[in-house]
Formats: sequence, C-alpha cells, structure tokens
Amino acid sequence: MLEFKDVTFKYSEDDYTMFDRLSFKVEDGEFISIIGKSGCGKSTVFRLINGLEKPQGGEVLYDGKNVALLKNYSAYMPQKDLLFPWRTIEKNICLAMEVRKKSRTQMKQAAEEMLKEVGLCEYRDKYPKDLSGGMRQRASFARTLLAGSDLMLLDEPFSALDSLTKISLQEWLLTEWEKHSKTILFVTHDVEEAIFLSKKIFVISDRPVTHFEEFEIPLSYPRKREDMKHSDIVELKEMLISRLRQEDTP
Amino acid sequence: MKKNMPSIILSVCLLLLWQIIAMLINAPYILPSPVQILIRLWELRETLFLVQLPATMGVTALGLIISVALGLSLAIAMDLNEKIENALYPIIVASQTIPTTAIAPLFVLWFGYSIWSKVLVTILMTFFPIAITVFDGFKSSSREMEELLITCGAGKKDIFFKLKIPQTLPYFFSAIKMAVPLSIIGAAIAEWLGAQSGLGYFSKRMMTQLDGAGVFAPVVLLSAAAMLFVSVISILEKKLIKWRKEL
Repeated sequence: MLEFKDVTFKYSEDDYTMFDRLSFKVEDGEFISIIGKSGCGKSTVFRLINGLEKPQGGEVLYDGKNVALLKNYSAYMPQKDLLFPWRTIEKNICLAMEVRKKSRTQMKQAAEEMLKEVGLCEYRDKYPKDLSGGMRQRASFARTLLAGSDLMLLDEPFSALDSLTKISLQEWLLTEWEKHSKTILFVTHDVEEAIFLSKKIFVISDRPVTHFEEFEIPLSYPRKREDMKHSDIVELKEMLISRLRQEDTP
Repeated sequence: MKKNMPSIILSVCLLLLWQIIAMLINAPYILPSPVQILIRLWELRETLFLVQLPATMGVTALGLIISVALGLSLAIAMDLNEKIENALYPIIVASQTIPTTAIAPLFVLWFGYSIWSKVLVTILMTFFPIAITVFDGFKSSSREMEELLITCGAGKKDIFFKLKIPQTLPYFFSAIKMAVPLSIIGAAIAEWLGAQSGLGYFSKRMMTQLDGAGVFAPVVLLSAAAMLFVSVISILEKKLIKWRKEL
C-alpha cells in the first residue's frame, strides 16, 4: 500500500507551497487516475513517490516504510517513451533489469515473454527510430513492467498518440493490468481516459493542495467502450470536466 | 557520389583555373601548376612515401593518441565535478589563445629535434576540440533519461556508462574528425619549424631550393592523408552509430 502522510512540498525556485500536509492512500491492486489542470502538481506526486524529490514535511510510505529507505519499489513510465535510441528494443525493455543486475539468462527469458505479450517480437533487434508511436509506447510499457515492481507510475503515457492508437492502447493497458495485478497510478489530462481506466479518480484542486477529491467509478471490470455511454458515467464526466474548467477560470 | 558531385565539379574547375593561371604566369618557382606538382610528386615518390610521410604520420598518430586520452580525461573530470569544471574550463579555452607557431621553436629548444617537440605542438592544437566537444556531449545528455535511470535504481556509474557514453559517441566522432586534420597540420608546422625529417621539413627544404612544385608535393600528400583518415572515421561512425536517424 502507498501512503502520503501529511506531505508538505515546495520547489525551491517557487514562491508557493505545492502540497500542504497532503495525505492519501492507494491500496494494492488499485488503478487510480490523477487529474487536474496543468502545473497543479500531478507529476510532482510521482517525483515524490519515486524519490526524485524529497518532501519538506511528512512521509511517503510504501508498505509502511519510508520510500527514502527503499529501492526498486516502483516503476515509472514517462509521457515521452524515453527509449534509448542507441539500444535495440530488446535491450531497451531490459534496461531496468540490467540496472538491477539480473542475469543474462533471466533478462533474455523475461524479454522474450514480454516481447510476445506486447506484440513486438519482430522488432526485438530494431531501434526505436524504426517503430511507430504506439509501438514505442508499448515498448516503454514493457520496460516498465519488466522492472518487476508492483507499483507502476504512468505519467500521461498516451497523451502524444493519435486517438485511435490511444483507444486501443487504453484497452490493452486494462488487459495488462488485470493480468499482472499491479497497482497503477495514472496521470492524465483526459477525463474520459481516466474514467474508462480507473477504479477511482483523484482530482487535484486549489493550491496549496491539502487533499485530493476522490471519485469512485461506478463500473466493474472488464470494461467496454459502450460503458462510457451509461447515464451516470456521462454525468460524472460532465461534472469532472466542469470542475476542471472552474479551476482554470481565473 | 551524387551528393558529392557539385563539390567535385567545383574542385575540377578551380584546378583548371589554377592550371591556366600558372601556365600564363610561367614561373613554376612562384606558382607551379597542378600538373607540375603531380609530376614532382611522382619524381620524389621514394623519399616522400618511404621517409617523410611515415615520419609525419608517426608524429600525428602519437599526438592524436595522447590528445584523445588527455581530451577524454579532461572532459570526464569536468563532467564528474563542477569544481574541476570551473577550474579547468577557462584554462583549456585560454590554451587556444597561445600562438602555437610562435612558441613551437621553444619546444625545439626544450626537446631538441626529437619527436616530442613535434608531438607537443600537435597535442596543443588537437586536445582542445576533443575535450570541449566531448564535454558538451556529456552536458547534453537528457535529464529525463537520467531521471528514468535513477527511478530504475541506477547510480552514477550506470548513468555514465548506460547514458552518457552512448549519448556522447556522436560528439566524440565529430571531435575526432576535427582533430585528425588539426593533428596533421600541427605535425607539419612543428616539422617546418625544426626537424630532420617529415613532410613539413621536406616542404621547407624545397622552399630553400626555390622548387615550387617540390614545396606543394608534400602539401598535397598531407591533404590526401587527412581526407583519407576523415573518410575512414566517417565510415566507422556510420557503422557504430547506426541508430542515428540522420545517418
């Protein structure tokens, strides 16, 4: 379980506090999306979780332990695929395993299975420049999965894709999540994407952020596109959009 | 080949123009024609190819190897530590304001006609583009990729070997392509100023004999050697950096 306990954080170059005694919990196996306007601190939540930033107050806990004392508890998938252009796809997806000193045999075997799973077997020896945007995101997701952590932090991974690729990758992501039973925290700007994918949505509002507004999605898994047409889902979507709009209004 | 066609045509035109002007002036000790230079190159082939060229290439190779080692060490040291960067960077830049040709005779005074006086001139001219270009390569490494590695649990060593080195490889090749002609020029200048063999020394000797074509023949050889080495490095670069889109 991931927990933010009274976390206070401010970037040294900013003159405002971003989070003020912020607390929230994410249970194991949940799929939670975080939405909010640009610059509200969505990505900062990830930076605090994966230790790239240190809170000035409070604690970020994973399974009850401060993340500052832990290693390899989370895997991060950034907005840009960040595949290393000089590595083949197979070597790219093995990056985290390589850093974590897995044996060659282990890496080979895991990469083999994962490439099959993400449908990139034929591209194992290709370089990122040879792949389409959707394929690159799948490769990036494969790299994140192969990191072997139960907590996955996905930072707007589909935002740069065209709408058709985005839809098919969202469905694919849900299948993968159900299969691997990971905990996923998903940052997005897209309200519909957040509703389709998540069990729960956290909305980040006024600054400094003192709490997240939580919304349960009244849908079970597996989900279909048609589910998005249910009246309560349409209502929820409209409500979330109007909330975000309100926040955008000066 | 098709890409190089305009440059080949332009070069041929310039050579033709040179040939015509040289024939009009008709004073080969001042301006020998390209044909006269080629004839002289053939006449002097034994000494040029078997004695002078190996001597110059020896200085070039030694100077280049030491420059690469020195340039890379400086770039790595500056990348690892900001204090080292602040201390070294201005000195490295200042070293390029030293008029090499003016102080080269000093090296001859210190090291005599040995290979080291010439190697030192070569190093002075060559280590700078390597150190600065490779250092810029290290600095250009993506912050986002670095953070991605950190989230995977990577330490400084992993970041250096898995990110900085491969990302800097294209910069390294650019540096070497700049350094090779410079090292050849450096060796020739040093030989011109004080040596007992080498293409620079030979060119100077021909000058004292008012042999215009004999002055140019070693220069042609120096240019050919530089072009050959740069081409070999470019081929190697294409083979090693095939992941680059533009290659």
